[in-house]
Formats: sequence, C-alpha cells, structure tokens
Amino acid sequence: MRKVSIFIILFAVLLSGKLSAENFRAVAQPDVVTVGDRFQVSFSIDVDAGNFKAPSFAGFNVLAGPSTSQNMQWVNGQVSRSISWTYVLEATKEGNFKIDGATLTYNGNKIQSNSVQISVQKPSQARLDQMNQQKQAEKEQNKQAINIINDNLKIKVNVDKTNVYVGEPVVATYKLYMHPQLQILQLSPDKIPQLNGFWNQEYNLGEVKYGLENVSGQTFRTATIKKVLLFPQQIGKLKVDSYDFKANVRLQVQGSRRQRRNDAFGNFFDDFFNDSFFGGNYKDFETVVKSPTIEINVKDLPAGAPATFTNAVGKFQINSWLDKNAVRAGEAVTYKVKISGSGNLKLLDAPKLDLQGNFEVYEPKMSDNTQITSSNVQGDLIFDYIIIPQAKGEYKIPPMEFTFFDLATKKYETHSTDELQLQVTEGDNKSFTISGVNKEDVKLLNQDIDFIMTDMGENKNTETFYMSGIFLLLAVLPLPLLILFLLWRRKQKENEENQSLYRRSKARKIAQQRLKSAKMFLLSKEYAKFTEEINRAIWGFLADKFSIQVSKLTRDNIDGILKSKKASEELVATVIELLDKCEFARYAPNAVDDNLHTLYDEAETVISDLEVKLK
Amino acid sequence: MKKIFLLFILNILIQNFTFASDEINANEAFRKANNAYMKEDFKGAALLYQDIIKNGFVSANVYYNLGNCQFRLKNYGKAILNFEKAKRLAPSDESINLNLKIANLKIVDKIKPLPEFFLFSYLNGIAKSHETDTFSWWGILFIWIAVIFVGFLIVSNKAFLKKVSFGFVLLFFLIAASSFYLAYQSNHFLKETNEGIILTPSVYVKSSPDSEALDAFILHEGTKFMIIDNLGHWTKIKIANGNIGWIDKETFQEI
Repeated sequence: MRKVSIFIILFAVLLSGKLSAENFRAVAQPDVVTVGDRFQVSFSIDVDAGNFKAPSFAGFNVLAGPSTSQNMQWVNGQVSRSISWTYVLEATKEGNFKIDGATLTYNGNKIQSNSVQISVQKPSQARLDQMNQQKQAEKEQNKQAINIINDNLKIKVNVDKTNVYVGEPVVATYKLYMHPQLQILQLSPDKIPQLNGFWNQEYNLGEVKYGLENVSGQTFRTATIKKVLLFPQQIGKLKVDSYDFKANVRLQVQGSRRQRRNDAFGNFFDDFFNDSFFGGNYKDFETVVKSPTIEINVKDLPAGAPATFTNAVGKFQINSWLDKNAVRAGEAVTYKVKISGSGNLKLLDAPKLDLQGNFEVYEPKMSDNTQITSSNVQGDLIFDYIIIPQAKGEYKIPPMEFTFFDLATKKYETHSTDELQLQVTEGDNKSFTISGVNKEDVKLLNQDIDFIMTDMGENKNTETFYMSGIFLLLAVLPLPLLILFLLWRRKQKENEENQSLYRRSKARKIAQQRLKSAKMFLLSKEYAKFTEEINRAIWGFLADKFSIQVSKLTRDNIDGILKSKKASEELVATVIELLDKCEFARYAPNAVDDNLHTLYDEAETVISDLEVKLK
Repeated sequence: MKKIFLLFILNILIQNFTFASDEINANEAFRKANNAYMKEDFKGAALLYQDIIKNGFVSANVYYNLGNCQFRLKNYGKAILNFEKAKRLAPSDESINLNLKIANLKIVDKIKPLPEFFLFSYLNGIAKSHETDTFSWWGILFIWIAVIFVGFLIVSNKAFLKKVSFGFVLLFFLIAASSFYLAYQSNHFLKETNEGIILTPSVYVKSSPDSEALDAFILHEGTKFMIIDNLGHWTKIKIANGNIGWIDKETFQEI
C-alpha cells in the first residue's frame, strides 16, 4: 500500500514537470531573416519560476536583452500570469540555426523550453549595399569623431629640463587639456608611465583642480593630473614614458541630411556643438589619448670625485651629535648624524662610522623626514648609531665626511661633522666583556691574586755581580792562568831538552872513559869486569845519544830506534853484531884474550862511527 | 795625625750607623705597610711602599706588594707596572707571575703577539726565567771547568785522554758562552730594554709625533709596549703585534 502511494506521488511530480515544460515556450519573431536583420527571441512561462538561464546564441549577435516582462490577467475570476525574457539578436551569417531551449527552476525542478529554428537567408544586393554604406559612414564618423576628440582632448607632458646630470631631479608634469564643451563621460588612466632609468617620487597633487587656459587662441579646460620628480640613475638618453588615458566622449551626430554634406566639413567640429538646426542623435565614442614621450639626456658627473662621494647630488648639510657626552662602560649612547638639504636624499646610504677602540657599534637606524616639493626632495635624514663603549676612557668620535655634487656650482663639496668627545666612566663589572682570552686564562678569571710577601727581600738597588770587577776578573782570569801554565810547561820542556843535549855532547867522552877503564880491566885480565864495562859503555852511549833511559833500551828495540835516527843498514848491522858479541863475551868469560882485544877495538870504532854518522 | 785617624774611624762608624738605621726604617715602613694592607687600607699601604722605594730600597717583594695594593684599588695599569718591575728583579717568582697574569686579564687590550723564531723566543724565555747574577755565576763556573780541561788536554800524553779532554773543553766552553749570553740578555731586559705601561684609561696612538697627526690606533690602560725612540715629549712605541706609533710621555710610565 505504502509502495503504491509513493509511486503515485512520484508520477504526479513527473507529470507536473512535464506540464510545466510545455508551458515554458520559446518563440522567435520572425523566424526567417536575412543576414544583418534583427529579430526577437522570447521565452515565456505561465507560472512563477526563477533562475532563468539563457541558451547560447552562437552565430548571432546579441544586441539587447534579456528584458523581462511580467503579465497578470484576470479572466473569469481566474488569475493567469506570465513572465517572459526577450532578446534582440542580429543575424550575422546565412544558414539554418537552432537556438536551444532555456532552463528554469520551478518547484525545485529544472525545466527546459522548446528550441527554435531560425533560417537566415542571403540578403539582397540592395540591402548589402546599404549595409556597406552604413558601415562606411559609421567608420568615417568614428574616424572623424576620434579626430575631433584628439583635437579637443590632449595630454601633454612637460619637463623642466632635458639635459641633466645623473641624480639631478627633473620635474615631469602631465597635464590634461580639453575643450570646455566636450562632453566627457569617463576618463580613466589606461597605462601609467613606468619611467625606467629614473628613481621617481610622485608629487601629491591632492584633488584634481580644473582651470582654463588659452592655447593659441583656443580656450581649454586644463588639469594637472600627475607630477613626478625624476632622479636619473643612468647615463644616456632616457625616455619619459607616455601617459595613456581611456576616454569616453559623447558627441552629437548629424542627421541624415547633414551626413551628405560631410565631404566638405570645413567647420565640422563647430557643427558638433553648435548645430541648432538638427537635433540629431548622440553617440558615445571611446578612444585612447596618449601623451607624447620625451627624451632626457643624462650626463655623467664630472671626474675627480673625492673618495667620500656616495652619489649625493644636490645641496646638503651634515651635522652630528651624541645624546649624552658621558656614559658608563657597557651602556648605550646614540650618535646621531643628520643630513639635511635638498636633492636625492632618499637614495643616500648611511655614512660609515669608523670608530677606534673597544666599541660595539650597531647598524644605524634611519628616520626619514623628507618632503617632496614641486621641484625637489627636501628635508633631512637622521641616522642613529647605537654605540656601546666597552672600556672606560676618553674617546673621540672622528668627524664624518660627506661629499655631494653641488648642482649650483657644478663642483664637489665636502662637509664634515665636528669631532665629538665621549667620556666613558667605569661601568658595571659584570658587563665587562672579555675577548681574546685563551683557555689557560679562563681558569684564572675567577682566581684572586696571591697575598703580599711578608719579607722585604734583598735590596736590589746595588751593583749586580754581572759586569762587576770580581765577575770580570773571574771571567778573564782563566786566560792568563792558561798562558802561565803553557809558559811553565814550555820552560820545563826546554830544560829537559837541554839536559839531553848535554848528555849527547858528553856521550862520547863518557863512553871513552868507560872504554878506557875497560882496557884497564882487560890488561889486568879481569874479563868479567871488562865485558860489563864495555857493555855499559855501548849502551850508555846509545842512551845518551838518543836521550833515552838505559833501562828502556833493549836488543830488540835498538834496531828500530837506530833506523828512526836514519842510521844506515850497514851501521845498524855492525851495532847489533857488536852488541851480540858483547853479550856473548859476558856469558863466556874465558874467552881468548885476542877476541876481547878485537871486541874492544870494534866497540871503539862503532862508537866513533855512530858519533860521526848520527850527528 | 791621630786626630785625623780618629775622625776617619768616626766617619766610617757614622756611615755604617746611618746605613743600618736606613735599613731599620725601611723594615719598619714595610711592616707598617703590610699591616695597612691587611687592614684593607690599600691607599695607605701603597703610599708607604712607594716611600720605601723612593728611599732607595728596591726589591721585587716591595714592588710586588705595591702592585697588589694597586690591584685592589683597581688601578690595573699601575698594578701591572709594579708587577712587571717586580718580575724584572725576580723573573721566576710564581706569585709575581700569577698576579701579573690575573692583572692582565683585567685590562681592555688583548694584543696578539707576533710570532717569533722559536730559538730566540726559547732563549729569551730562559733569559727571563732567572736573574742575571745566576747566569753570571754559571758562566764563571763553566769557564773554569773548561780551563781545567784545557790543562788536562795539555798535560795528557795519551791520544784517548787528549780526545776526551778536547770534547769536554768544547762542551764547557759552549755552556759558559751561552751562560754569558743569557746573562747579557737578562741584563739587557732588566736595564737596557725600555718598556712602558699605559696608565691613562685610553690613548690615541698617533702616526707621527704631532697632536694633529692621524690616529693610528688606540690603547687602553695596562697595555705593555716597547719604547723605540724619544722626541721631545713624544715617545715612539711598538706593541706586541708589531704596530708602531707615537704617544705622549704623560700617558705612560717606564717599567
């Protein structure tokens, strides 16, 4: 049962939608047209519906619409109402076109009207000619109108100079000129000048004031619409852009009779305004009015700018002061620099503050008190430098130099501030900053100094040992001592040498004496004593001769000693033979008497030989 | 004749006596100064120590104590000056070195010294570590030892002994020569090198001896520098980082 009722309701809704759609009608009047014709398309409905959405009228020009109309009718006590939306369309090309139905919302449902068929046909030749003529006339009319507008509505730009230095301000004034009788519906800026290559400052004109001005016999209404200060930033030819305005002007258009006379419109413009014969129609024209562009020649500043020059051009003054002249270490003090005057003030950078000593200097803050006047930027800039002195002392804030190019004298001028004094007193110890302290020192930071010494120590106000007499004596003494020692040694050696010389000179004598006593022993037949004596004589002679002790001479080393004294082999051999014989004789005491005699003779000859050969 | 002799004796006695009494006065003043220091009357103590020095008694300890007084009075420049003076007289004293280091932390300028050839800085370090007389005695001692070895060298007649003695002679002569060099250096630091300490809170060091000259740099109280030259009331100085400039004689005191 329930299902059935829902079905019925749904059906009823659908039915009512269908009924409404039939009531929503679209009608085209007429539905057969030629190209260029106008016709109406209207959509109407009998019920109160909303949210009308028109179809697209592709292929047609919409000339007007939608215009809405509502009708209410009382027929036989019954109210019937209808709403219609009407469009005026223009056929633009031939062919068959279908305009889709419009949509509406009724009782929450979307309903659509029927579509209409339009047949657009080729126009006749006469009609085409007429249309072309009309178009031509319209074009002509437009052209004329724009000429008229351009003649009577102008924007001029005026610069006060065209040959300037970089940074020298140029005042550009844009002025509007219009004929007092020109009926301007709307005038709006189309393109605002960009002014590339300039730093510009717009002068605030306030409300636009109109005035009257006579330009070559013609009176115009004028208004200054823009005034800009231009500070050229580049060298060369710079262009001051045009200012474009979009103007909507209403002009009176002549009647058809007048139009024929147009070919000779000598005073056409006057006709526009003073046509008393023909009431004519009014027509609105839209055009863009442009100001001419102007070139400005920008020269470079003369050479020879001082190092302190920072592109300031104009006329300036600089002064500086401190907000307080005495401050505790660690507290801030403000150093203010004021640059005042006129010129490219706003382009100036903060001058560099070059402080020596233990200061913390912060980036300057700038306050701008400049005004744009009709010819320049004037006023002052104040730079605030916050300085925090770190240590007590008497400090100087060095003068700050500021160079600018004076346009009046065409010369660079340098002004400087006064040198300022800053008295810094002892600050709070806690704020004392320690920089450049190494690790080792950090340990010491919180350490206190050692206590005083309780003994006086030695008085050092006396001569030092260094370079004193005793010092010099002790330092130099070793040298003479050493020399004395060496002298003593030399003397000693000399003595020894003398002794050996003596021995050498006496060697033969002693040997001969011994030989003599040996001979005595030989004669007395004491052979043992004889050999001993002869041995002593030879050995003693050799020892004396070579300054050697007898005990140090042996049969073995005598050979070497003799050779070292440059004795010949032969001699050495005889000496050794003799020594051997002596030795032999010593141990053979019962030797023959003759042998001992020859031994004696040999000993004598050897000794004399040695004496002679070893001189 | 007798009278003259008596007068001579008397004169010597008086001289000795006055000398002794000076010593006593100095001791007395030193004791008083120490008491004042302990009672935290640093100003009074400083005056007494200064009197002791003015009266001709100069010792590392008196300068050191005076430095301590100035440190307590927060006159760090003067404290450093006196510690430096004490250090010259007793270069290896630990208390003096410690207090000087602490005082140097209190001053503003932290100047990074120029790097020096390591051998020179090493030798200078040694030269500054002891008193001149210590080095002098070392020199004397070693030159005598060297001479004794020269004797050995002459007397000995064996090749080996000669070689050994020659080695010792060379060694000890070298040691003696270095000792004398160190003594010379140490004395140079003490007497001939002029150093100064800035005593005013801040000084602009000028690039030439003229008050109108450009400021080269700024120095603060307590900074040590070397004196290179003097001209009128201007002094040419060189700081540890090698910078050179002129300052007024009023602004510093020599060590």
